[in-house]
Amino acid sequence: MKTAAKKTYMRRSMTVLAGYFLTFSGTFWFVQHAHPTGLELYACAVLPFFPLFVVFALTAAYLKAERDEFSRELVMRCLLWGAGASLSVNLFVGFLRIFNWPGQAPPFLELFAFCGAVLLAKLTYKLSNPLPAE
Amino acid sequence: MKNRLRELRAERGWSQAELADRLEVSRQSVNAIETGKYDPSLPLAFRLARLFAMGIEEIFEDG
Repeated sequence: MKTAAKKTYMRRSMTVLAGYFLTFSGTFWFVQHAHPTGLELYACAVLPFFPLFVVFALTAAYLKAERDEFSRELVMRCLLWGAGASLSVNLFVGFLRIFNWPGQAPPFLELFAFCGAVLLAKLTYKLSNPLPAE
Repeated sequence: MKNRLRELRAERGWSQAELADRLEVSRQSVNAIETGKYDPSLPLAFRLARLFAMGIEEIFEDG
């Protein structure tokens, strides 16, 4: 059963994530059609970042509000796995680029690595610690 | 850390979910403590002790 803090966090972060996808889609469409350059283009690249930043702020607020210490620890462990995966991908690609690697990493690879690692960490925990039937 | 949580819970006829509700934690937390995979912090250990009306040392065994 989810705690009250978790329910609030899930509701708020899902709303903000929906906002992120809308913002991202909107700026993507704008750049495709208006072809901005310079500062305008940079602003378009930065705009979708704000809802994502809010999600992290909500996560921090959740960790502060959550009374269940074990749930807090699990969330932090999953986030650490996500950060580790994201950094590893970034270092891998960065190293290749130092030596003029001709290839191209898919866009947002670090983000996908982060999300994938967080989900995998959560799933691994749930599968290795099943709750007994009551 | 070994503990008698499962035994004490069974004596009172509480499910893990019921104990979790009383402690205001998730059932996952109760299960993790019972299986020895997680050692509670002092505040949570005190809440457990108050709930079962016994000392922390009577619930948890060090070593």
